[in-house]
Amino acid sequence: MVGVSIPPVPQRSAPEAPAPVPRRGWLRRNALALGALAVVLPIAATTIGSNEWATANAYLPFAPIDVAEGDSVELYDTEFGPARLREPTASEEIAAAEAPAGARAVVLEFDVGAGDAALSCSVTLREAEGERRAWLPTGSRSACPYDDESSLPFTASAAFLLPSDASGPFIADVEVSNMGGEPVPLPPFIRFAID
Amino acid sequence: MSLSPRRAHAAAWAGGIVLVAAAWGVMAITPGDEFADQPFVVDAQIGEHAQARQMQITMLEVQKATHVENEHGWYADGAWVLVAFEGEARGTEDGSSLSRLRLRIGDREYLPSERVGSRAHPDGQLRVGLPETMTAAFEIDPDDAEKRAVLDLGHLKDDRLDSAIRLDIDLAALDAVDSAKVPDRRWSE
Amino acid sequence: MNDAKPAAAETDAATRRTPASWMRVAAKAVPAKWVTVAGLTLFLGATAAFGGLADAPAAAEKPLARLEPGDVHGTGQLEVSFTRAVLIDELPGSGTTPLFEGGERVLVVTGTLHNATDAPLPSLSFARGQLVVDGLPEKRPDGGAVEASTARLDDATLHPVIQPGLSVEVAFTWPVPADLLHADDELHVTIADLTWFDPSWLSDQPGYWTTPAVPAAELDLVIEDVGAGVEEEQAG
Repeated sequence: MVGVSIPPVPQRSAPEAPAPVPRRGWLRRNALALGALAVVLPIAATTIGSNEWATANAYLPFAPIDVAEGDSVELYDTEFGPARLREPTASEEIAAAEAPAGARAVVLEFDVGAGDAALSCSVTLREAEGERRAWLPTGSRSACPYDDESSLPFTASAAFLLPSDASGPFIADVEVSNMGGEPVPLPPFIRFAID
Repeated sequence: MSLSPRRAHAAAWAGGIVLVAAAWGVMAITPGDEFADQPFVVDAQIGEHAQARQMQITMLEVQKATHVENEHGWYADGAWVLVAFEGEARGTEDGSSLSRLRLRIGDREYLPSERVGSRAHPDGQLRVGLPETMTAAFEIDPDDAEKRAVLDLGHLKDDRLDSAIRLDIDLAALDAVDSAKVPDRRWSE
Repeated sequence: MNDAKPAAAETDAATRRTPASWMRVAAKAVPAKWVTVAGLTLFLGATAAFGGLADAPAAAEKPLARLEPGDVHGTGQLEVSFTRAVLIDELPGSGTTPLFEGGERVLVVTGTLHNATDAPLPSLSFARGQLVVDGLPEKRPDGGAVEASTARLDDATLHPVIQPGLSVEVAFTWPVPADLLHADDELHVTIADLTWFDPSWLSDQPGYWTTPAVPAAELDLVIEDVGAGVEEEQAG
């Protein structure tokens, strides 16, 4: 029994916990990827966001073409303006029931110059300050002819019934669609300042 | 701790069944898809303003009648419910028309009667700053005249994700009058 | 060797003991092709058993229910009954204005509509979509379409809406050439029904009334000719 030595069974100690990888090492190893992310993420957000907003805005007019009082503007090769408010003539008496006490009827008018496109315009009268309330015409909302460009030039008009506490200054928003030509992706609308 | 193989087997089955039951329970209490589309209900009270998204309605009076007349010589007998209210647009007139005006009794839905004539029928565009008083006249099945009803008003026929003004009416608590008038739509004083 | 025998004996015992293990052995022995053919045959046999392999039937013409004046027919939405057919020179307030120069008169069919649903129903949709009167021309002398119009008999309201649970007596009117129909002729009227389709247990979609309407009932009315008109018809 002398010559043989049985080597001691090696102690099964708990496996050594791996040394914690230092943070700096991970960052450094992934620096390139992280850098790419920092560039790509904002681009993706902007692209997707602007895509969605463009779609939403295509259905809602949001870009006003501001026109100062008394001025006119050209859109679709046609001149719009100037716009003004006036009293209704006898033949324009508001079709609704007799106007209530304290209300006043006004007629929005603006000139539409000669052009080569059939147009349709939808008008809204809005307070420029304060609560910025908005009114629709008492009659049809469409103030321009939509069938024939030979009707140009003419004067578009729309009658409104306003409460007595609406005293201006006003803005008239006119959404114009070009019936005959190319559709405009972000429909602008004309904002006339009045009073 | 370790279980005997049979115990572990049983425990696995039990655990599985408990999880399936819990899943069923979660599904049972989860609201359906239409829950996300519910309208925002505004409870109206007689005499108070009820504010919806772009309109303000003030309920004035609810009447039950067995005979109704309008201002132009028309009359009718039957079971009628008249709701007088004042309506005004707030902020903008665009999107402030009253297209949904219905009386719900149980599963049934009644619409204002067109028999009262075009000048008395409550309809259409509400105006900013210019409140109008109008009356909705509902001709109902006499069998429904003693039940609870809900008047539902709003801008569009589809009330998903929009404001809905609701007025609870207990028809049994109202006494039917022998004759009621349906006035024309008019501007409020 | 000593070890092999008990193992073999054990296997034999095991296979003989349970049907499950016999199935396992048998399954391995049967060719896969036989299994698929057998399965397919069983499936087709079951389908044939409940008629799934028969020809799709052509849309069978259901015989129309024959009604007498006054009989009530349910269309699924409305319960309708008809009483009279009358020829009259004109009926103001009915919604039908005859062209005298074109030689037109007004055909009036009176009936009662009862709304059996939970929502208001326009009488005009029924009149124009589900009521067919035989023999009427397509067009009027001025080119307009010959279409039905409805009006209440009690207060002459035009195109009445029938509220749920209520019954209304209605006059259905059409403009007709004066020489087309005569007193004592038989007017053949066909009523078509709509079917309610409810896919709610399959999907979230709400139910709806299917179109086109399916003819379901017919009746003959003897036409009366009242000439220039009877005073009490001009209500309201």
